[in-house]
Amino acid sequence: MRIRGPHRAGETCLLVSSRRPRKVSEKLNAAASSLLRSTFRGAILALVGGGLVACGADADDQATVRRVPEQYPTIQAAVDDAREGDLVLVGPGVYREAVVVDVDGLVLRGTDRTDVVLDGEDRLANGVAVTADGVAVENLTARRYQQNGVLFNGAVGDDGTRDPDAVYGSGDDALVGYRISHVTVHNNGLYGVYAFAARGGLIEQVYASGHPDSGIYVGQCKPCDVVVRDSTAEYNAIGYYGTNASGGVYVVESVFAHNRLGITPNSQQMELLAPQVETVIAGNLVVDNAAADAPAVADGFFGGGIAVGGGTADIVLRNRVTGHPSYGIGLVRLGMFTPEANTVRDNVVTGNGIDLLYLPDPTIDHSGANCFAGNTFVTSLPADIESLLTCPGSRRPVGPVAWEQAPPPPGPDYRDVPAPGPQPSMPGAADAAWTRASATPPAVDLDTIEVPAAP
Amino acid sequence: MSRRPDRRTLLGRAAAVVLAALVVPAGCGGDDEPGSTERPLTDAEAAMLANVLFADLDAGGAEFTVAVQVGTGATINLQGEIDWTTHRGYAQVSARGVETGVREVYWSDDAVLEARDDLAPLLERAGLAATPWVVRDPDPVGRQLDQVLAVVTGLAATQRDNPLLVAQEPGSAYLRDDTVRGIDAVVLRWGTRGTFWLDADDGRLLRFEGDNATRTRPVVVDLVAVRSVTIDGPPAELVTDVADIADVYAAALAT
Repeated sequence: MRIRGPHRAGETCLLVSSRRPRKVSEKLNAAASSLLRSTFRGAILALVGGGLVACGADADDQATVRRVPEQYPTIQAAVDDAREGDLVLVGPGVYREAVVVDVDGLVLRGTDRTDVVLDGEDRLANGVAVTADGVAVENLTARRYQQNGVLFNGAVGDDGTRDPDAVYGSGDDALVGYRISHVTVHNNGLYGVYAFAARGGLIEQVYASGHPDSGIYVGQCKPCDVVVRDSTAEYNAIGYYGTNASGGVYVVESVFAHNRLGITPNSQQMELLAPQVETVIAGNLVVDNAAADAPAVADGFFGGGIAVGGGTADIVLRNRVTGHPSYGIGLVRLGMFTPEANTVRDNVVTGNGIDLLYLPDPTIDHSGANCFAGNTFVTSLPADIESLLTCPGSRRPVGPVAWEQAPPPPGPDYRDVPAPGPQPSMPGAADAAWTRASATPPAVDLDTIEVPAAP
Repeated sequence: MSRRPDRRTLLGRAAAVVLAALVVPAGCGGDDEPGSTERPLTDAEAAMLANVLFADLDAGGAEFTVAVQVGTGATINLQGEIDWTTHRGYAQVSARGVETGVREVYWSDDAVLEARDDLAPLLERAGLAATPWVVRDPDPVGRQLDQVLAVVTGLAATQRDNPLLVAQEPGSAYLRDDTVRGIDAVVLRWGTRGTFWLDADDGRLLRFEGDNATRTRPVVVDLVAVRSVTIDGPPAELVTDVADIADVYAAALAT
């Protein structure tokens, strides 16, 4: 697959991926195996097609570098002039604007992650709102927006209007292909990074803090085909939130700390495409998500590490989860949804109020094919959980489980959460080649993912 | 449990209870049937709705009037102030056909204080010293008045809503342009929550039309001025606990 778009004027480059998928030897339950097969297919695709990236400035290429502020006084002016595949390169400065990107394949990049700042001043809607396919946002900071730092929104038609009868996020009725990399988002009014009705995403090297909902949110997509990796979410109400985000969702090798709740794939009726299915949460450091100085979400949670809220066929694998007064890893009911066929395996889960929790709908007196195996833990509810809910998951009787969450403490105004310090910038951002976002995220090799070291 | 209304009992207890009261059916005003101007919300309109209750809390409070058509010939009208930061409110009450004994009301999440026309004889009948106020628990199911108070309190929120979900919610729509007290307004319906008149310039809430907590009566709330207010309830020595006059109070309500 050839990706349109030159990179540095006068320079041509050709990169060939040397990544090869490793043999997947995990033997999880049926749902888990299905997910792993998907991973394997993705890896093969990446090797055959996605790993080949052309980035030359051929004579017939029309893609252009558009520089802010040298050529354009605002980012929006550059975007408005841009064509498919262009790079909008933004120099240091504070840009008090809400950028809307509706140009396919555009790359929006700051030259310095810390010094290129989009500032909503608590009055503008979104830092960057993307409605086009294949757009990448790189190496900048978006802060103090009323809604989101960066939004990828597929719930809009090609003509820019919304069809009230459409099921956005389903199949091709979505934004296809997005990437966000080396971006800091903080103190925005809803989410730091928000992918809604979007498919084929890569969220990496993101730092998110001070959000009264979640730092990173993937919602209403089926399939989602998104990888969240190498990112950090701190001092948010929730670190990662995945409502009705189903199919090919990987949240891996990231840090979720000092939120009120670390990670929660979940099913809810308020969004389309419920129930949520098939998310893999692997190799994450999930610690101390009981921060009273993190903003509180309405109807909030508090003191949980990983909560699969009414999700189905999710895999929680080799995470380190500690320091949560409520529970470490929970397969829990949420509204009308009860967890089913989820796998919790090989995690290190200690130092939590309850390390492992299975809390189905009160009408459910069986395991729901959920399973726990190979985890390092001390406490569980029901007791001896790995003997009751064995892997591979099957329907086994489980007695009533009673657990109540303590009322969450009040939280601060999200606008008052301290801003984060500088985060690592994208290497060579001013000169590096650029490429549009792929619709196929990189493969995740679960065999190589280990339990992260203790902090 | 003591029902003496010291300042602490007037402080908020369960915002969620009040906010839940704002889940109301659309169309109760009778003038927002699908018409020639109704269309899906734009992104900007959805954002205005998503922001409006949070903006109310940011403003702190409001002066308001309420008009409720309870039934044939029965109405409740309020004029007062609400402090959304503490969930305390005060209003003068003018009612016909229902809740007719109440002249003034203070309320919070935990308590409702009534000044009643019939309170002096009730206290005398109970052998108690006269006080201008009686305090009781909120009863948002059984009392028409309390249902209306819950709607007023619920017109503020600690968090913005998600405009994408607001726009996607069945029933959400732009209805028409209008004018409220000489201010240009845009009239938007938010799913099944109700209809909002928003200042066309700055998005602040001018009027809400919805229903009471039990979805049985239409309620129109006009925010005459949105600003910080402070509500101090009466001193405890001026208040009688309804538990001390339970029988005669219940009899008074029955009549």
